[in-house]
Amino acid sequence: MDTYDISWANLFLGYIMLIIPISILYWFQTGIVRQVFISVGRMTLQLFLVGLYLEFIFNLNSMWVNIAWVVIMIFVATFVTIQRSELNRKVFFIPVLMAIFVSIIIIDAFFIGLVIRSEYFFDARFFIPISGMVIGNCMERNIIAMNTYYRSITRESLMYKYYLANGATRTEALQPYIKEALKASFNPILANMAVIGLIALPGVMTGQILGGSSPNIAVRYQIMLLISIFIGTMITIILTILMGNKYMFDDMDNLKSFQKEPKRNKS
Amino acid sequence: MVEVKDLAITFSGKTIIGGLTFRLPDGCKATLKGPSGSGKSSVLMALMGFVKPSGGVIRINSSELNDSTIKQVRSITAWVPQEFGFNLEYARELLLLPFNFKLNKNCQPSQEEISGMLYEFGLSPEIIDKPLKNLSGGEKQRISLCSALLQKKPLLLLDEPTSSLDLNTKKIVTKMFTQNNGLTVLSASHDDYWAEHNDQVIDITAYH
Repeated sequence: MDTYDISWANLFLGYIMLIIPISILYWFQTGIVRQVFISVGRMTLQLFLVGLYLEFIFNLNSMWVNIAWVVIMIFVATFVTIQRSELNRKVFFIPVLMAIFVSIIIIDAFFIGLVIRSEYFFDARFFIPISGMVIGNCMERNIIAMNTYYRSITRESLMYKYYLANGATRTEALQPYIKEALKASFNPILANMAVIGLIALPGVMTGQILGGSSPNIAVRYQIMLLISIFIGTMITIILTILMGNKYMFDDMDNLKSFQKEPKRNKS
Repeated sequence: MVEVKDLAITFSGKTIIGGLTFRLPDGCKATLKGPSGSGKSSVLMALMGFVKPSGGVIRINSSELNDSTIKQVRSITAWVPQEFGFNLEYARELLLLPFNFKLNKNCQPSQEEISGMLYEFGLSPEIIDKPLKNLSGGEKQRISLCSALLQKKPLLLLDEPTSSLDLNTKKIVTKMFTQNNGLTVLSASHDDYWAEHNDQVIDITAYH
């Protein structure tokens, strides 16, 4: 199948069509018309910049540049995870970073090396989008898992102490909280998997079909991606929890402060 | 069995307990007495390693409580907290919770033992199949106390064990613990009836 290009004129037509939602927002005095212009402007600028950059990277297709790009994505995902979970950066930086790293190595080896069997493992066409999809999802799910895990231990600290004081090892005492974190993190993925294709076509599949792939191939890619995201997310969460546990509990199994240190006011 | 010497507990720079000293021989029943907020529960927490003392020494079975002995200490204790805001559904889960842990697997109580223990605490055996939300505070408290006794640990730490009980059930519970010769019990309580039936009453207000 062929790929149909979108001409600049047709792209402009898309912007003209924005008159419909903007008019409605203006008519109802929602006060967010200005925000629409800013958001559409940012979207356009950011995507064109990314497009230019990706075009450059894809043409270059250098192993080191591609690896560097993925490493940057991992670092950014680590910072965002820590920031949005309000975790202590000093403590969690290494566990979160290592967890995503290990997860990406395993998933890329599986997907690119074993499933696609690309002749060139670091081919930008596969290496960057697959890594990006997995990193993005690992980050989102890890934020939910970390928030649930540490906050539930804190909220139910009496229960945690009860377990320990009545014979549980730390691993046994933490089991209910790991279970809760995994459930909170994976329930949306499972719900999404269960209805995928029924309510809406998934983004990757739609993109591939629009890009000229047959629906049959697009479906297989989508399935492999979902499986990879599922596995990668699980590895990331479990490793973050297990590595975090090494730093987050004292020798008497008490949870240390996991939140970022408050900013001190200069006096 | 338990020896506490010059124990000091400090929170946010404020000393809430200072110079607390007492000794419980095997089988002794002692209670820490004092008004709410006087630090009774904190002393129990310190004995389980949940509160780090700012001074003094705790010895349990002649071993000083520290990072290397905490697991051994926790393996011989059972703790019943004052609150039961646990995220559990049925009374059976509350009663048998400690038996899910590897350490307690080999002392899993039989159905007869469970029924017998519940009966002695004035509870019907059928209560364990009821949802916890349908039980009164006193019933939940007695189930937790049953669970502690069923673990057959030599040292019990009880936080306000009679706080939700009426006089009749208080008498039953007091008898169950104070007349059990092999058991060492340290409790935190401001209940006069419970205190009267203990071997030692340690007035915590004297150590502020």
